[in-house]
Amino acid sequence: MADPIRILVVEDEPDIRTLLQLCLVQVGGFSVELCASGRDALARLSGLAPDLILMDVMMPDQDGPATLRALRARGNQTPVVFLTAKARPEEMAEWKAGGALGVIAKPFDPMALPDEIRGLWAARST
Amino acid sequence: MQTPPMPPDEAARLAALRGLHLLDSAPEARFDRITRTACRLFGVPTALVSLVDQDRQWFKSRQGLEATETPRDISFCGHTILAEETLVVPDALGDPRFVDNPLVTGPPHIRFYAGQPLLGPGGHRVGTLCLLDSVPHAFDDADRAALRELATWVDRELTFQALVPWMEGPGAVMAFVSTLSHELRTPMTAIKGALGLLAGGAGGELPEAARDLTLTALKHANRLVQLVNDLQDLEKAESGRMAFDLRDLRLLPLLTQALEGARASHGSTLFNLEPVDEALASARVRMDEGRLLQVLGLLLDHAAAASPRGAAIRVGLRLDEGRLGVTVAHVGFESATAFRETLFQRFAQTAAPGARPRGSVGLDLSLARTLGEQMGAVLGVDSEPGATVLHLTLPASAR
Repeated sequence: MADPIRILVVEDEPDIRTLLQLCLVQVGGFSVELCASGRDALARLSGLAPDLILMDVMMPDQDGPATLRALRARGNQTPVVFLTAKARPEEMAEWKAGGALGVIAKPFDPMALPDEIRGLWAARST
Repeated sequence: MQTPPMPPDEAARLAALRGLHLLDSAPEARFDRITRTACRLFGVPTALVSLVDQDRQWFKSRQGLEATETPRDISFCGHTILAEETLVVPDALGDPRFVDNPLVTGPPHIRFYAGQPLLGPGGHRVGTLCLLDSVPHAFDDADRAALRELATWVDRELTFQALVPWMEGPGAVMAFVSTLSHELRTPMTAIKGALGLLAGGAGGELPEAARDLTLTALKHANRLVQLVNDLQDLEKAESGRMAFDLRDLRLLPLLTQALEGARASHGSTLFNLEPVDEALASARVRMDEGRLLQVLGLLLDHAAAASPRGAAIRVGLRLDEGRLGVTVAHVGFESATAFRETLFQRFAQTAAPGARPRGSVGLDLSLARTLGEQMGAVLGVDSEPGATVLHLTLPASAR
């Protein structure tokens, strides 16, 4: 059996972070690391080397799209999936153009989220 | 001279003051009539509604004074806002705080001052109603009480002003609703996520009763999510910020798809699609596919919620004076006419007599109509004997 996909969750709300961990590990069988901010993620990224980053869009201090830009500016090409409570079509298009693999709306269905991520993972172009 | 210290709530106080949007605004009769009354009542030449800003006090209303503002550090009112009580200085020359104040030693040569703090939003003391004279005055308890009463009047005018943006038309209200709906998403994500995981067994096997309770909570959490989504869509559509991708679409397959969705949530036997003749089966409309599905879903949801449990709902395709339409007929009012106007109001309860109101049907029709109109469709309601008929008339395709 292949190794589980390693996901780095970047989410500022502690409860949502815990929920995502429970959902991705228990339901999805992924391997999960948690970060509370974009800065934290950028600082720890090289050590963690995740397969995929699942990141909140609206975060204080440095938001998801800004973190994605910082990531790419460092030459890191890890696929990023955004989680967002604010998904206007034009913004979603912009984020995708900015290199996001996908956008998942909040509130998400925790039992369906792992399959959704697996689908995006399978469809990635790399 | 004593410079007034900063009150402990200074930052919040300034925010409350600026939230009033009164600084540097034009004079208004509703304040001027209070200061005029004050001059007359207390026998002073000068009365002011003074708003204490960061570095200055600015006068929203002034009688007997030319200046529109003075620096805060030499102001009397800067002292007044430090406490709840009226500040009374019967003779400035006898008060060490003010004896060498430039407003005392020079124009306007203040000798008498009485100021009552004004309360803005959150109870912050944003300014004063104050009286000035160039001669000393006595000011007894009855005078203090009268000044407090006038200040309460000013408070009310201040707050009224603050309320106006919320009362100025649906745009402001909807903007508020949009912000609120967005704020609701984080707690809803947590609630729906936790309940979903519990119901899905991620928290361990649940006893049957606990599982039932969890499913009930989850169902209602989903409804709340739907309501917030509808509210946001409504706001977006009304403010013209919703983008529609209009294309030529075959209507029947979309209606069938909407029916499948409605059957999945309300029961497989509830909706009957009336036979559709061949010409109509291939008819096309010019709509945004996703939004049309949403509108059809809203109409079907509404019909299910508004009719007695288990009563059949007839769905049909019609050609009406050359325009293609969808009809949804459900058991309803004896006459829809009286309800026609109220039906589209938000949160209107439209349950038929004898029907158990099944939750809020509130936004369904309002949102369906707004979305439909943005795409050139018209939503109407009619009555047939024993039935309410919703009809959505759609713009035909260019082909």
